[in-house]
Amino acid sequence: MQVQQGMSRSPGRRPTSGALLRAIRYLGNQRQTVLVAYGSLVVATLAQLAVPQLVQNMIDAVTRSVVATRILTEVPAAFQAAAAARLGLTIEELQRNAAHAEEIVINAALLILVFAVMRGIFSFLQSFMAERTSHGLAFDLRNAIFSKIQRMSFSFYDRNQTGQLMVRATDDVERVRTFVAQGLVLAAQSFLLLIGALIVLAFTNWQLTLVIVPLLPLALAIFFIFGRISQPLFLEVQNRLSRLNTILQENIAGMKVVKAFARESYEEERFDRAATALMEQQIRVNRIFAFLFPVIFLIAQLGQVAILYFGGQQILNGTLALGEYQKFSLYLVFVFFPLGQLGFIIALLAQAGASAERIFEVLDARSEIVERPDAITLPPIQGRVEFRNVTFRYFNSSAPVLQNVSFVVEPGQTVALLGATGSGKTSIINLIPRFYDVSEGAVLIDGYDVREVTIDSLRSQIGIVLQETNLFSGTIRENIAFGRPDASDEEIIAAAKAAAAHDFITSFPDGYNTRVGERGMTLSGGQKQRIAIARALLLNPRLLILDDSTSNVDVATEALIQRALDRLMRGRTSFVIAQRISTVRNADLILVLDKGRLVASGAHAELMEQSPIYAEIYTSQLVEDAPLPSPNGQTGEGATTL
Amino acid sequence: MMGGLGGPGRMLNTEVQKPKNVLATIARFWTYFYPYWPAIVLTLITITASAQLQVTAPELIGQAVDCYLFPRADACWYTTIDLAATNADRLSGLTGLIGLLLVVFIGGALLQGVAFFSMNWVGQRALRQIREDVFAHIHRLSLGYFARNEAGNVMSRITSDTDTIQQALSFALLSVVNGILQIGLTINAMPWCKAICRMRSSV
Repeated sequence: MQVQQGMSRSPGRRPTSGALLRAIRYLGNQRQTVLVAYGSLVVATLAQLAVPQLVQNMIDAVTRSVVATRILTEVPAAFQAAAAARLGLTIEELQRNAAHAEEIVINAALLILVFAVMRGIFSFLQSFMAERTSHGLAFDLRNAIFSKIQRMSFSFYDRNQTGQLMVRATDDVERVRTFVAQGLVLAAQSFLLLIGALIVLAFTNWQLTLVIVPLLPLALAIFFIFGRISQPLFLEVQNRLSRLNTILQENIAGMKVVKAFARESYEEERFDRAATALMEQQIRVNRIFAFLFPVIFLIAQLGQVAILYFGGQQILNGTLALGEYQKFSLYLVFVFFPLGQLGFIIALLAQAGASAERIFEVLDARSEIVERPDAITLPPIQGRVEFRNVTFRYFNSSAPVLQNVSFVVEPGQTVALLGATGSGKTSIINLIPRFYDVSEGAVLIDGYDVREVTIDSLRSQIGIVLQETNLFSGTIRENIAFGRPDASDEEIIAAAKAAAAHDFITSFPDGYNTRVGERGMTLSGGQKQRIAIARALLLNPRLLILDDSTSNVDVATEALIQRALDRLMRGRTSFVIAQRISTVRNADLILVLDKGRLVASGAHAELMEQSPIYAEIYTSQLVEDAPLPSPNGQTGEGATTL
Repeated sequence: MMGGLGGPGRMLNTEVQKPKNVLATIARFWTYFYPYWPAIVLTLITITASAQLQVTAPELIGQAVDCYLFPRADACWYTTIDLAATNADRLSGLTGLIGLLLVVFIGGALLQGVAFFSMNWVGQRALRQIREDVFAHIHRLSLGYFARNEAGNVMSRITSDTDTIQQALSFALLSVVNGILQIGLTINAMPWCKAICRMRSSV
């Protein structure tokens, strides 16, 4: 379980509803809608509770008018007053009952109709508003996760799989949303209905009510026990789903590699194992609920049986009338219906609890790169970079990848980084924009320790162009303006021209509005690289990090890219992972790294004499520049380039 | 297993929200469930039996009123009414009826549990097969497919869409079948139907 290392979860912690409560607190952003939803719920539930009583009233009205009419028509006039008195009525009331019989019945029926309509309207309002708040909540949670992920340090990504994070932001949020839209509402409604019905029942026949009261603690115990049991099981479901998703994500992202190495059947086996593991866990959860759902219904039914027995006893003893028993039975449904919903509520609650926990694992994860509370804004930089006794190791390894590295670069200088794979070139590059923090020593820009300034003000002044360029779904214009969305069209075109990208961009039918990235136009590696150069030029940083290699491009395109890179480096402090002879020859400072140590530094001529390792790299690893294209030589340009 | 020439490729390529041909979709769906037909038969038997028991229970409760609490000879079929019975006799008769009711309730609960579990057992297996088939199919698609379709879109088909199917299978389908059965059986059990239905069958 790789993912948990990065998150603040103490091992073996018992599942709590704390995370879910925290998630629900996000509803605070939409208090009014929540108020409307739950206000409607109360009204609708009260209307529902009133209906049996209204039916009773209607029956009473019918009975009264029938009795009154019979007394007034069948009993001799002399005895009518006495008959009325026996019913506790005066003769006038009797006459009124008989005369307005129809009216009373119609009124009672209308009242029932009014309550039914009211219940309908408020039920609708309640469901609609609850769904609305739940989507608002999901929106807030997803945004929180997304912005959290954006702020995490690189080391977080070294440890957490992309597929895992994606499930948390999508599926887990959906589980919490479902609970807020349905489970929470159902729970509130059931609780209200149960309490309301119990009150009515207690007033109707408190002895019989006492018979069903013991069911309540039983239901409560089941609620807590099964919530406890099922929440870890649901957590495991989500974990296994994440694993499945990780395999899927890796396969889609690395489809070319899978195909190139013909690893399809191996990957399919891996996926099948994950899918089977997920299935087994789902079935494990279902086993619990296959037991729980019927048991909860059974408990409600046992209540019914108990009422039948004890109520029957009262009836046989003559202490309970049939009418009263019927009313009792009607309200009894309102007690047992919420109890029956309990299983469903438990399922939703436990699921949401598990997912909320996973969501907050992300939200609570501490980034290793944190801004100090007293961090200052880095003023516009000159471009002086100093590494002071820098040692760096990755989070879980004891072997340092950089060891006691020190150097100073003056503003505007070009620094060429040389060394074998794993010598520490990438680590140096990652430490400057503070993608990682040094383990010992310090990195200073214009004399400011990078840990003392705000991350935003630091990174916005550093341009990065690597060989592999990530384009986002969107237009070419948006991709060039990625670091400066407010740039004008003229600035964007100027940057594209300087990056030798303007010509191929305008060769597309949609020009700068051509969609790229997934589902868009497929650009070649060389074209992407030039977009990245344009992106960096537009940002106009004083400090530049780049990779001067070009791959997968023909000779003419390579020359174009190299010229664009040279133009980009002019007048800026540049750190170059150097592959080209011309770069090191022109560099003001060459840093030669070997196994994390700085073994030689200086300019080309001096190093050729003093450093055998440099001479070795220079002659065996670096490449000559590509020849400049002939005057008519825009060949190899455009979409045909691979 | 994939069924049809188009395969899930066609399914993945188009962005339609509703299946174009519901019957064809159901038929393809069925191929995933077919291997588990014994469990499906078990689900159907248990759910029918449990629905029957759920309809029987209210009738028995009615009999408690008609035979013991407020005896009415015309409505009581559970037992013969003894007018000379004492309250104690009637209470013991009621207790017997309640015992029967308990058996009905417990039996119903057992049947419901079996139905729920076997339905899910089948559903989860079919779901795994669907996931595996889509995953295998993804590998057979050309790279051009991934240039045209966003990765997120492809992924949600395997995780989220299959999940929706699962929810439909585990809760919705079972409740719908159970509900329909109960409505049918209840209508059948109603007095007016008894009269009309008898009339119909005699014609």
